[in-house]
Amino acid sequence: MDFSWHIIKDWWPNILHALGITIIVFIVAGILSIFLGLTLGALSTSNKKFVTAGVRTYISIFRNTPLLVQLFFLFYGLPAVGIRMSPFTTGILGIALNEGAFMAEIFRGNIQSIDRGDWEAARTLALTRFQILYYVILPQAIRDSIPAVTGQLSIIIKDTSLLSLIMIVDLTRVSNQIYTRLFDLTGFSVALILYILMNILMTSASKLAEKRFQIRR
Amino acid sequence: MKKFWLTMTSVLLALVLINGSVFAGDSKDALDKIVKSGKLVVATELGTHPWAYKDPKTGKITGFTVELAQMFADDLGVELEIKTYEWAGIIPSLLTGKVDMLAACLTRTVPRSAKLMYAEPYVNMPGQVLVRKGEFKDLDSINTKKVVLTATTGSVWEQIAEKRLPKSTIRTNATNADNAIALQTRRADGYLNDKLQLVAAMNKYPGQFELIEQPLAWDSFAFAIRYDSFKLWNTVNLYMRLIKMDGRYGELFKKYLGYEWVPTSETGS
Amino acid sequence: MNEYQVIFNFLGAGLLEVLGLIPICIIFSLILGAGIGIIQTLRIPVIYHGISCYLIFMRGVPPLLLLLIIFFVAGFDSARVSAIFMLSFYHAAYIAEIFRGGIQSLPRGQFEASDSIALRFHQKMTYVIIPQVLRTILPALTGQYIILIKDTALVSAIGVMEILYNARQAMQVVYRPLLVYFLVALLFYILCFSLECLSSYFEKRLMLEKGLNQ
Repeated sequence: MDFSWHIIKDWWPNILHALGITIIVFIVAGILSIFLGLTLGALSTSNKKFVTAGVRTYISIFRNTPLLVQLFFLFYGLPAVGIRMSPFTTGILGIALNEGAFMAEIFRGNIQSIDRGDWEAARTLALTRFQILYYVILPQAIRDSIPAVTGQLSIIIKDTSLLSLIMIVDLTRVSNQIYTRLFDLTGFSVALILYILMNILMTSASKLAEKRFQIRR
Repeated sequence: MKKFWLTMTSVLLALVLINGSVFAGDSKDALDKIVKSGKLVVATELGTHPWAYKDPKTGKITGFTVELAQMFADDLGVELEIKTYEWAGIIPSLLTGKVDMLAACLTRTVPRSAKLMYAEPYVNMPGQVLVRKGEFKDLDSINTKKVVLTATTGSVWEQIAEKRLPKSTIRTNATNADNAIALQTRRADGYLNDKLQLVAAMNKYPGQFELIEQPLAWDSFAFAIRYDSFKLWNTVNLYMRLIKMDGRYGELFKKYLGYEWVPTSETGS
Repeated sequence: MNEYQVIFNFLGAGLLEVLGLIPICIIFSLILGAGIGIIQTLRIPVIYHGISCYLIFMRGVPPLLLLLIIFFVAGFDSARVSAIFMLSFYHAAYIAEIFRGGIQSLPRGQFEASDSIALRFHQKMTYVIIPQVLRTILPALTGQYIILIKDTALVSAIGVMEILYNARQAMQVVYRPLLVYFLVALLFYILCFSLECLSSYFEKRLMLEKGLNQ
């Protein structure tokens, strides 16, 4: 596997820029997907059948179709009906919608595992459904979800590499560029190391979070 | 001590996994292998009209470059086997020994020549920019910040655009089909390729695109061979000269490119 | 030929390609993953850490990047072989973890009992441990293979003519992106859903057997 410092020196600004894009997409899409997941998870506690069915359908569709196909649909399909966003926005939206479904599944499971007694006790205090969710149920569910959510966030880092196929110059695309121009694998070596580093950082952050919130696994 | 062995094992694992190329590729001249096995293996990319594409009626792979390769195989008395790849995988397929020769619309450039040998060129073609009708008139109007240009990943146009149209943004897509779609959906404002492939794209989207007349650069296509196969290279060169002398080249040229071939220093000896 | 026929032809060819790829990848990754998972439970000093490196590597690296590297570096005959190689090795890492978790969650009593009747290692595994493990890990395996089915869309990036690649080619002839990509998504949905149904069916059957035995 090639690894020449000379190439790294020449391409360093490009690599850094691409890394920046990867990180920004990860942060924005990550936050959006968590909020989307929370919303859907909360909605799944509704009494109305069509709301819960709607949530289940959304989750099912986005979990059983590939992210790449969803991205292409948004990137090439929407312009045909007049909605055209920048590749950057499309990428973030695509990842957020997709991972939102996975987050929703995580939150849904943890919300439902909260003791029924908590619901009943809160109801006796005459709290509205929204208040119950916001003050009683969700705080517990979120705490319980932290391990799974951080695992899913690691997956988002890997999802960003798909953006290289919708005309965004991310880390994967830059390393590909280096190869197709110079026939040197250095770009790939650097990308591999950076992705693994990001993953290790994510795992460490996850362990720290678990410690701090004292999650009992 | 444990740490040392740990590191050694993982490094070994990584090297073995990644350095498969060391074990690929023949050290003998490819021509000897071809004659012995009776088969010439070439790589090409489909979807590049008129150089290499699938005939929609017969389903056979055909095209100017493909037929040249077929004639060469016939002259040599061997069978032709065609392997298709996406453009970015074409040159690696030669370098890692998967094929004997490249029969694609491969532009001759000096950096590429550092890795592979070009045979005598088989055609010269201007490279141009395809745009949506009525939007841009000349190359200067494209060389602005807001313009997004697209080319195929691994093609020379990415670098040529960076040199000639530095103010614009250059992106790449994997295939010609993706580039045309990007132009259509306004993801890109210009699509760079050689003239004939752009004409083919224009025909697929009738009335929507037009060419900027000013050529961006001159392209010359040639077959490519590895540096370990001098015999094959020499034979291909001879073949290219012979078919131009005995008229077969002229016939093919007229058939695929539509106009008469006139031997001048511009269109190749 | 009208529009719908063209789309049908292109997507159909892609579907056939995918239906060929998936079983091969499932079998390879299952064998490789199960093997590695079992070896990991033995905790052989150097090998354990070496394989752990491989597992950490596969968890941290995006599959697309791995696919590109394998395609450009390894001397494989065709893009399809590179794709099979990458999918099998990538998912084998996750399957190995699933197997290891499953084996380690079995009560110690099973291992001790089989040792006490002097079963050799491979006999112990084949007749006692693995059958029980398979029952427990079936849902996790299904989840992993659904991800594998979705990952086949990635291999269009190196030119394997599967569903997504053919869809993009089809769109040069028939410009209907919303329809075409919707159909592509539908095809994948059907594939994943079928796998889930298949898995539920087997789960129920295994549960029934267990119930009867007890």
